[in-house]
Amino acid sequence: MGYFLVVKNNFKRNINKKTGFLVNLLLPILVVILGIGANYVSRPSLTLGVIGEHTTQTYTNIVNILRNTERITIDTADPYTIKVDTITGKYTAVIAFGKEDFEIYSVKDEATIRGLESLLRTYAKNPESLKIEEVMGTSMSVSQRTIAFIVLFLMVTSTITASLIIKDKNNGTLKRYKYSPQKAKTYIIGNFIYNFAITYCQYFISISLMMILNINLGISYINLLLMGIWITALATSFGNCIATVFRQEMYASLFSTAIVLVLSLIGGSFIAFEYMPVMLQGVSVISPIRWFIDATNGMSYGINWFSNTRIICIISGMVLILLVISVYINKKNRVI
Amino acid sequence: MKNFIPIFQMEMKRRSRDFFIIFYNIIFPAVIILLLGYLMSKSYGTEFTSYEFYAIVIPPFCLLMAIVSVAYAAQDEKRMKTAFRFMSSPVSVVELVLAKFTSSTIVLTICSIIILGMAKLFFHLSFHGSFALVVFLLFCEAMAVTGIGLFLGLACKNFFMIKNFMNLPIMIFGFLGGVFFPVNSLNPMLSSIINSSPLTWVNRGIIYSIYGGNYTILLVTGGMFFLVGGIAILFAVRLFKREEFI
Repeated sequence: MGYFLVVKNNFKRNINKKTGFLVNLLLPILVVILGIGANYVSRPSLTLGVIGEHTTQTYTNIVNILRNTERITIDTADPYTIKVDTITGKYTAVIAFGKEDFEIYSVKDEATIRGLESLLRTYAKNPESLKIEEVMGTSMSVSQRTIAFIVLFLMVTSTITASLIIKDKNNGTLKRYKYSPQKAKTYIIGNFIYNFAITYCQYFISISLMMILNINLGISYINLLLMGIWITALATSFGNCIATVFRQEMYASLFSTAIVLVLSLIGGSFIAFEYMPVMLQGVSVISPIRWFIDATNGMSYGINWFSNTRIICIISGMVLILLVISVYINKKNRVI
Repeated sequence: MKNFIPIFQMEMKRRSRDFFIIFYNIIFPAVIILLLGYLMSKSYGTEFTSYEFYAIVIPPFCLLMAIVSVAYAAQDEKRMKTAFRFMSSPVSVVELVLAKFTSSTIVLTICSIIILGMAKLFFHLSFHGSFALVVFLLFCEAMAVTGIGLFLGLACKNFFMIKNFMNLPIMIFGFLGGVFFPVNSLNPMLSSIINSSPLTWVNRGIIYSIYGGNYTILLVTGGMFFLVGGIAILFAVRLFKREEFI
């Protein structure tokens, strides 16, 4: 009953702030738009700049076939800004054609340059379009990138939703609550249920919107909704935990952004797990994002969400630990 | 302006001891440079390392994130319940806002200089004689960040709603500005979206001046930030909400 009272009061407090409530409802739309944008921008592709002799047969063979290769874009580069253009990412590499041969300039690693060189040499001899996956490096699928982005986003927004806990601390509500015959556990779980409901609604709207817009993640709608329960539970318990630690919303908001960013980096949101340095692959076990990416990968091959028993146990364990920490801190919090 | 100096000194002390300003502008960027640099080390060669790339793009990003810290710093008096004293003392709004503006700008610039120094020392980032120009650009960015932060904190009625969502556009600007990995496109529409991020121009300005010897983008971007900072602070003074401050 105590849980229900906290949920009911939080809901009443927020429904009166119409603008905030509307923004909360609009957030999933933003998630979808940003998700599509992030997917498009981070889709593996090569942009190559060309300079030098453009009358040779090698040039004609290579450039013509590159123009017809999927996910490769060709542009005439400025010979004076090669280094700058490769650093800023305008071009992945610049190909300088000589009278008989060509040279490649890039700030990328040797393996990528060698892969590209071998691709171009094959094109020079045999002008037939090939697959370019080996040159691309990262190999994250659309579904993996989208889910990683959604988890990142929900972890940040759930801290905003959980800021009611900070308000309670500062305006004396928590003090009154502690004097009442209720337990710290009831307060935290009540807040958890309320935040879970709001965050799951956001997740549900995002996923449904993607389905309506026909964005295919390669995972069934039901599986996505089931995985959403664990994504939301994790994001919500994380937000609650951060909110119980801090007394100011700014600290909570900045700290959660910092933590989520670090967890995303080591969890494989920006670079596929197998391309990470070995040490970071080991460290990444602490990032929930890594486990959601793993589960997404399995589900895209058709397996059911509940078949990921190990991942479900790990995520549930993380949720439980975060909740226990929140209850402990809430118990110890000074309310004067 | 006789009241400006003591308020400025007090604000300088407060800002230089502000844990979150120090954390977000020195410790956090250093950790992220290390982490991202290590994470992407396999994707870069030896001529230009991933550590050098992230030492260039992370400090301006963290500086932009300071908008939220400054917006809260603007409300220090409200939080410490000393706003009544300021309101009844013969301190003008201009003196109060300018003291906050100059102290925050100076502290943020010093933090940026420290992180650039660390980048030079630990990540072997060579500035090729452009160090002063990079500092100038970060100073101008600090001005714009402080101006906007003070405007949000002192003059914005819906501050409490805005501050919660400030991190989102900053993260989007960071992503579009190529903070996490180089982002660029030859597609005109995508290219104009990328160009809408101020961090795109900051990063381009720094990279062009260090590796291309071309200072135009850096100076123009710096000038734009200077202008934005000036306009924001004018608005902050003009629209200062006394009742919000208390």
